[in-house]
Amino acid sequence: MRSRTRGSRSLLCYMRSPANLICLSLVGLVALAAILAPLITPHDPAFISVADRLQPPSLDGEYLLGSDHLGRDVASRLLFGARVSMGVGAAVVALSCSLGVILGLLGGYLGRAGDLLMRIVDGMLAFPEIVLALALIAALGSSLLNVILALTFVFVPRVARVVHASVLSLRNREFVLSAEALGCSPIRVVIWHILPQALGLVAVQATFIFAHAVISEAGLTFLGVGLPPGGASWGAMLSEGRAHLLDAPWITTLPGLAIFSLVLSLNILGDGLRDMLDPRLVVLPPGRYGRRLRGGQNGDARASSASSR
Amino acid sequence: MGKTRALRLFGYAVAIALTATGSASAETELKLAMKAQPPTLDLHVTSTNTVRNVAAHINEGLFAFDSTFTPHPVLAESVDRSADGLTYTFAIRQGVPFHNGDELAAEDVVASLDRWLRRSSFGRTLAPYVSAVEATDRSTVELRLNAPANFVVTALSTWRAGPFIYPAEVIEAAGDDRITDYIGTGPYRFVDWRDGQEIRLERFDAYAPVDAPADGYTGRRVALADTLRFVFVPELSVRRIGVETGDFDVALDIDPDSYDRYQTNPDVVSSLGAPRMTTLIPNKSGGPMSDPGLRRAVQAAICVEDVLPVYGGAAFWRADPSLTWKETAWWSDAGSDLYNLCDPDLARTLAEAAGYAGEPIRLALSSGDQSKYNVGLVLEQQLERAGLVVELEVRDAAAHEETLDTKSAWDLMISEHTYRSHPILHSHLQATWTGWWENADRDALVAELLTAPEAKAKLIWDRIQRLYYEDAAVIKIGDYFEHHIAGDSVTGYANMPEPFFWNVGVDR
Amino acid sequence: MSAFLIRRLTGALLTMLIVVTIVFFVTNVIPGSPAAVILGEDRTAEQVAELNRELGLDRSLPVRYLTWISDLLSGDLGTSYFNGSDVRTVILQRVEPTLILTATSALLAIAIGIPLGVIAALYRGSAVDFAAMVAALTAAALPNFWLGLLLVLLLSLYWGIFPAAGYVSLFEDPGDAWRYLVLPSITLGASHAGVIARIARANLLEEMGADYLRTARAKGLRQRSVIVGHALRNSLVPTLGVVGVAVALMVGGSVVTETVFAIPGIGRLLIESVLGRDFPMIQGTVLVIAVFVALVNLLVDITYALIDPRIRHA
Repeated sequence: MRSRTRGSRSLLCYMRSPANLICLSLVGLVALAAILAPLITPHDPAFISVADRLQPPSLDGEYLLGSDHLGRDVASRLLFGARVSMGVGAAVVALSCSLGVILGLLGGYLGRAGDLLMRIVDGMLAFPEIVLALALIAALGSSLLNVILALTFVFVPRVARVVHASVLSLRNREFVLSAEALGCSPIRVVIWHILPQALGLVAVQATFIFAHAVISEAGLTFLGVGLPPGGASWGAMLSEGRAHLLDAPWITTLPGLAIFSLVLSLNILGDGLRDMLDPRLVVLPPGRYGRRLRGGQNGDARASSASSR
Repeated sequence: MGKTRALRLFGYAVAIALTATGSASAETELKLAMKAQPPTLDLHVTSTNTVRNVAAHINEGLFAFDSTFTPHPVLAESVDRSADGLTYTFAIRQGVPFHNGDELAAEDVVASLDRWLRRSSFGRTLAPYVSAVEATDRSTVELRLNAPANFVVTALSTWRAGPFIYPAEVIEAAGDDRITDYIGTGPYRFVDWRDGQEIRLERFDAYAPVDAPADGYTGRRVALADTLRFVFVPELSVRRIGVETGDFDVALDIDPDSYDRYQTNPDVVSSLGAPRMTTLIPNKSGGPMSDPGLRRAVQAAICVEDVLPVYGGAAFWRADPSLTWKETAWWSDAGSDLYNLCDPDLARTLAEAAGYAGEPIRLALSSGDQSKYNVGLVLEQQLERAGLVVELEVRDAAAHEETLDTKSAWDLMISEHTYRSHPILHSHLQATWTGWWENADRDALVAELLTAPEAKAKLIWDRIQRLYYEDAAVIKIGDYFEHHIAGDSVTGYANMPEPFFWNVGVDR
Repeated sequence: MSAFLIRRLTGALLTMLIVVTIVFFVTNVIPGSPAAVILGEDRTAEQVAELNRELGLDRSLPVRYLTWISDLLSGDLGTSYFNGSDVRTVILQRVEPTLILTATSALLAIAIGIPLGVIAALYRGSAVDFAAMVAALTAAALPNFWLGLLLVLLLSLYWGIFPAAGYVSLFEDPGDAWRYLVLPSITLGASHAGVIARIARANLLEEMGADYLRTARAKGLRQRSVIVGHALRNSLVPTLGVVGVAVALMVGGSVVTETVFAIPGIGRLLIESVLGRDFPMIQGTVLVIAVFVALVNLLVDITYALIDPRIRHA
């Protein structure tokens, strides 16, 4: 009860910060663009008109933000690209958080098997994610679904680690012990007592994973192993447009800026969220970095902002 | 401006080749940026661009083409064809040293030709006609055929996967593996391969050039630059910037769109490279495309003028019905009444007549190959307009190539054929090549083509090409050109279809 | 200490085995034929079958795995499908650029990140702090594939300060080599500089709030020297640990950076091998990255243990 009032008060504080508000509106705007894309785009993002290729942006021309090497409308592709980025981000967050929570709880309650599980999780955490995602996507093939699956696989350990750490720290706390003494089943204890405490930390992770997923999708597509190049995604626009970097910079500049601002906003929102949950921390040190800092719960609480690696 | 510049360059090339003495004063180095590292420098086993770019400086063949694509001897001195057309006797040039100091002898030629006939895809085209390759003395090689085939010298002049000559012991040492001892007779010798970074070649001082003016790939080859450095630079824009800033002298495989920009940039010379040919290949072994009626519907739906601009400005492509290049004597407009019909209504009618009921047609594409991919996107749009249901199946390069080897895995694919001088060298003329065109009429005509006297051969080819069109076995889209750029200090680049850098200098 | 070391070493070995096994099986079920890539567009089915035999791809998966592991134990990483060269030799040739690039990027990230973070903490809440943190956040959010291209465009093409791409070994021509390293190091190091700056700031602020500092201050030392003398030193320990992790992560970033700048390192070797289906090379490369990451982590753990004895028994 007490924590809930504190929570709503912090939420107010959170919204009052101008930086958070700006970032939240930016993310909201991108989400809105993603949802409304088919209604507001001036052109079909996939429509090819080679006669109109490489038109520069113009206010009074047909292509507000110019056209690409196949004469497709950059503005429309940018809006539809928001769908891919937001979709990949949301799907990866949903999948990796639910799987990660389950794994983290299992790791905390399974005894030796749980320890082994967390060992594997630690092993995967230490590994550069793009290297693993690259091998996975190459195996699965280039498609939206496979990018989501590969990135989920890469991010699950991060959530599992955070949840596991909070299980360990909470298991011996008084309110959990007393619930167990009162005869609550472990599942009940987990669902009603441990999970709610861990969810805040998961939410912080979710923000950073979202940002990471957006940037990783673009990076993998850039390397030629992400989404198939034809689709309207920011990564694909950057990847296809880079051949025209010198003559038609508008093709790459705008998706680059879009990725940058979305990731920046998500990072700032994640920072704010963590500060709200743990006001003691002034700035959040990123992720697997965080694990190194102190070990245990606090370290994980500081988990990571996305950086492009 | 660009064309005159290219012409002027060509003039330099000839002038330099005529006057060059082979001694460059200062230590010069030509830095060439290419997009990928070659898989090997063994010229027999692959027709990949990157391999030929580098290795053709190290090894030479018996013959090569001049600028009009007529074969001339390089390591051969002369060739003599017997009256029945079944025996070719090659006199091998004397006093030609390999990079290891040994002198070229008939046994090296025999070992190389044997391996080439076994290993090279083009060699295998000739192999069925060959009964023996033998050295009759130290400087004479005899090639005997079991049936007349009029393309022997042409085949021996090919450059990609061509019959390049290696020392017999290098071939023996390689056994069934790829050659790793890169020894040849060429104007440059292999020095160093830094994996992922560069390959370095240096002038071969004892090189024995042909005593004739340089013309195309033939004539006197002079290593004007002391060193050739082939640097692997995957990013296209970085290759371009490198030439603009003078970090590289030459960059290969540049996007055609930059051509116009370089016409006004005095620091960079832009040249059209080899003509290539884009075709749509239907899978004739099964699935919807095994029906010639539906293939003709696809043929009718295509508007090449809306496809070819993906290759850049008008200088970079040409709509041309021929399945052989305009640059060769084999050019033909047979069947052109079926080329570029651009008629979606006709296509719809043809599809209906073939009983097409909306089955998906799988167009296999590689994400690693941007221009074919772009062609595929435009074609999809055109076919859909004619009521055909096209499913794009995009895979990365390796998975795509494997798909093409599987008969049941695809219905349509796009091919960009590299330049070849004789129609027999076309891979799609073989029933075993992906696409699997089995056709008895074609087989009979090809047999005729290979034995016919030159004057008649062209007429037979016209009939074969007509067959291609009537059967819609290979759907021609058009020709386009590769694009290479060089800094203005580079002189003497001959700009033949396959780039080479002997007779090319750099003044700094 | 030795028990701690053994525990960490087994952990590191286990990690390596897991990662390498995953990668072996993943790469071997990849659809795609190395033979097709090697032979080029004119290949025939016969040539493909021949090459597959030559490469040993006609054997079953478990057999290939066992062969690979037993070869591995004898130090043999196999032969590249792509160009027939020895995987170990190729990797050894390509380790140097990645190590040097990682080192220079890490130095850059530290040289920018730590002072930025410290200054921000010292002037907490001021405009300086705000500007420093905006810079750090920006750096951390820049996609490095985009940053790399922008840097080439600006510093190489327009201003002509640095070469666009390429690599010169520091051991061969140090006078020239550094010019080739500047842009890639910025590309790879920028995001980590941002992250390090924020951690340095957080750690310093936390130390400044610690009890013993209040004691020190109460004893009358001037605040500035207190900060410099105690807080900074203490806060740098966890910050430097973070640098260690950053170094491990940079190996992942090198895949993109080396591709953009045509640097012949391990990262580019990996993406080339993935695209060319060069299984032995993919496995070897991932193994080397796993070993490198495990070593860096071990080093960080040991450093911690040396500084803070409590960790040894944790």
